Amino acid sequence: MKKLEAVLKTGKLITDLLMLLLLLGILALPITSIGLLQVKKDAVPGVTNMEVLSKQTQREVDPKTLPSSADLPEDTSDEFNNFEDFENYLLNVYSED
Amino acid sequence: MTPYNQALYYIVSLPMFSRILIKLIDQAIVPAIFLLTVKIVATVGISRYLGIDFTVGQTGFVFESTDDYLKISSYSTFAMVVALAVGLFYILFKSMIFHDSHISPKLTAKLFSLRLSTFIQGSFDLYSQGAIWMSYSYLLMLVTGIMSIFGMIYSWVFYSSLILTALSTVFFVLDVENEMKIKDPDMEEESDEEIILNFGENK
Repeated sequence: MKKLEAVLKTGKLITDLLMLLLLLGILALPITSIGLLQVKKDAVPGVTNMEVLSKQTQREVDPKTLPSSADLPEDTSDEFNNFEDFENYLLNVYSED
Repeated sequence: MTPYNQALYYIVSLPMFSRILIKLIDQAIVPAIFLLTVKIVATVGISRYLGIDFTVGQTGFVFESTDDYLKISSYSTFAMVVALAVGLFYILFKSMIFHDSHISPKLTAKLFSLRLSTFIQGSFDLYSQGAIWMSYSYLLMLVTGIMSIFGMIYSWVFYSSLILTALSTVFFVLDVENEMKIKDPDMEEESDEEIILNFGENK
């Protein structure tokens, strides 16, 4: 009888703890909604999207003069580490011309 | 009674779940959904109203600039504070006016005639609701305080949350004090008891 009583008390304690955790989870739910709002990672503080766009100047480009992939040397690698590498490579190739 | 019957009787009579915890969980669900809805609706609504663009990603609402984020975060959190104030003052109003321990007979009769007797609630219901709303208020105050320190929201949002929490705590404590006086009238009598000090004048 005493053993059963102890087991039941332990079970009740575990149930209460789980219910307490559930209550805390429910209480934290609306507060965590504050984290739903995020800012774009590359955003500059104080600068809006429109400000960035307005600073860009329109360039007149003739599509016929644009370099094509056919102009690239044959030893051009298929893979680059990042876009910056590729950009530097292109600058080197076309500056040689 | 055999030992088996004794054990069975013990199991049946033992409350499996804490009554208070069940009541608190029950009372916490509706305010949680309400506050969450207010936050989301306020974010979308205020963004539309101010003409601020955002994208909805896997992690939530993503804003283009920190200024936009600061503005929307502050106003939507303030909307949450307002929603919390509405809930808190509704509970406080109920506990001060419609509390079954001190509701006036005239109002009771009126409520029954209007078939609104459900407005009359006991201490257990009212204080469990009050405890939940107060918990949300304290949590929101804590989070807005931290966000305000890190410049993630305007500081006035934190101050408004602080004022709301302080006011509601004062009213809540006053109501609990009144209730304690009603339940234990001796408390008041003891404090009003006159103590006459006699310095041997009658000798």
